[in-house]
Amino acid sequence: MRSRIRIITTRASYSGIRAANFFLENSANYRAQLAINRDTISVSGKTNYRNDVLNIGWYRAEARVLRAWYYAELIKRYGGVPLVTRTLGLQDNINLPRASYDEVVSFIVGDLDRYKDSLQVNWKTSSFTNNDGRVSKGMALALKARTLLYAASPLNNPSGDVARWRAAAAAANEVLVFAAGAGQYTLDNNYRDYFLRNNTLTSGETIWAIRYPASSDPERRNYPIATAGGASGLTPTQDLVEAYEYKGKPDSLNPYANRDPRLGLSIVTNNSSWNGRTIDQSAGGTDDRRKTNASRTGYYLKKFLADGLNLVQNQTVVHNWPVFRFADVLLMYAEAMNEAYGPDNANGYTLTARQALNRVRSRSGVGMPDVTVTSPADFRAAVRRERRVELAFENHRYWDLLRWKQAATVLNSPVKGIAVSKTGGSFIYTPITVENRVFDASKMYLYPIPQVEINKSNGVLNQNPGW
Amino acid sequence: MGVLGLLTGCQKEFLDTRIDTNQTEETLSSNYATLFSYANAPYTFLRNEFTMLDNNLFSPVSDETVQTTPGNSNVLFFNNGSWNAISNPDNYYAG
Repeated sequence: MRSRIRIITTRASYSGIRAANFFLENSANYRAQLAINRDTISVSGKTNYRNDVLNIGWYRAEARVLRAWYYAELIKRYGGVPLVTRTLGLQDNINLPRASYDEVVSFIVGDLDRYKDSLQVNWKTSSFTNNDGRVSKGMALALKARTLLYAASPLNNPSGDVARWRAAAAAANEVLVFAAGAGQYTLDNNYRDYFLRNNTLTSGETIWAIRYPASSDPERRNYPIATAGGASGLTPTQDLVEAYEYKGKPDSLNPYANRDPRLGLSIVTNNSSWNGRTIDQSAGGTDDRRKTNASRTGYYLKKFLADGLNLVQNQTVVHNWPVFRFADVLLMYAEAMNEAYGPDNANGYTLTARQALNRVRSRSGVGMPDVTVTSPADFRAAVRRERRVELAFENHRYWDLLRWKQAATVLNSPVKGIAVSKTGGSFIYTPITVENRVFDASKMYLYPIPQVEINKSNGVLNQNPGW
Repeated sequence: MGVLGLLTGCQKEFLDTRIDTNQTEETLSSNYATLFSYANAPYTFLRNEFTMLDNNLFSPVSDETVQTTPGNSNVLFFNNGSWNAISNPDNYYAG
């Protein structure tokens, strides 16, 4: 039988919140603290001191924004949670009741508004480019936009209050205005390479990326089992592949021809080149799907993975995680503007919803035709499909399905794959069911508060409905 | 697991994530290097999104991907709906 869940005690949200509170409480006199026992007289000493003062000043604003980030991650999962805005000691009552979802949203947005101008505006263009990866003004604006988009979404806005969509649209517009100014955000012109190596950090598309040292772990986990060192790992579903539109005429012999280029840039399909060979999943082929631990779906992951890394010789490569990127902001804007004003009303802002959506689709190297549907409902479906494709594997999909209240149907349906066979030199592709999925809509739209926290709280913490 | 690879302007022990949270204000103010370690501390709790679940992306929880070897993986709790308040593989609520 299954082993118990690995208990993870690090990287918890409230530990991050406490670290932010602790630093804020112990750095109020940072100028004096930084001056103790050091040279502030010589030219270089003075410069170092001044740089340290600048950095701690930014760090104090960053701590506020990171605290807001941790709260945003918490409410995305649990709904309202206790708001802790200072470190709690032995003498404090630590049994705090949950604040409402909306109260935490107000707290997040309030702090982001208050501290966004105390942050480094843009690390890339500053004299501290090495610090890129720390929080900047653009990140704070993007976090506000995402937070308000979630708050406006059906899950958190059951009455469909349009004022919430207007607030989300205004916040996304703030990012667009900043992007055209000091942020200098653009769409990268290479959708494949953007997710590789240091490009994810240095590209003008990135608003906030988290940096990691070089590693071969993502490749080890997700290269095909037939590549030495690979484990197949996460394999894309047929459901996702079907979301990529045709760009030209369908080819009856090759379902992957004439598709949205992002398909071939994000997913390894049969009869395509990967790791220096042509993937062949038919009987007797190198990637024969009947082999132990070969892909059950007929696809392999490509996004984020370098091609042809030599795992046997432990070749490694840098992978940075794009938390906020410009295309995501354009899609947030398109979604919120459509709900607030419809597809073609710019409301005096920089772009209409349609212009923002089509800008993502017309990225150099992607070049998908404009979306022309006219009704807000059809446009909504187009934005949702675009998010699914553009942001595939970037850990957005589950949360998008929840906030759109589509999980009850989508996550309760079996996922499909494709079986590959070969007759007379041509591949035949047959859809198959890979596995069933269960989503209980009576409770799973929110995580349960961990039972251990409920038990400790002496009845103060209320559990979410159904758990 | 990846180590957070951010750099500080002054290269001051950013990667040293051991945090003595019992420092007094006196010991703290006596060492400005410590200030930078506290400044970096809020970053050290950011989750590595490359390893959100089963040391891999969060994607197989949704309809995007399927875990090849589900036998011992935490994603099964989500896929078959058996997760709960006691066993939630994505529980990063408190330490």
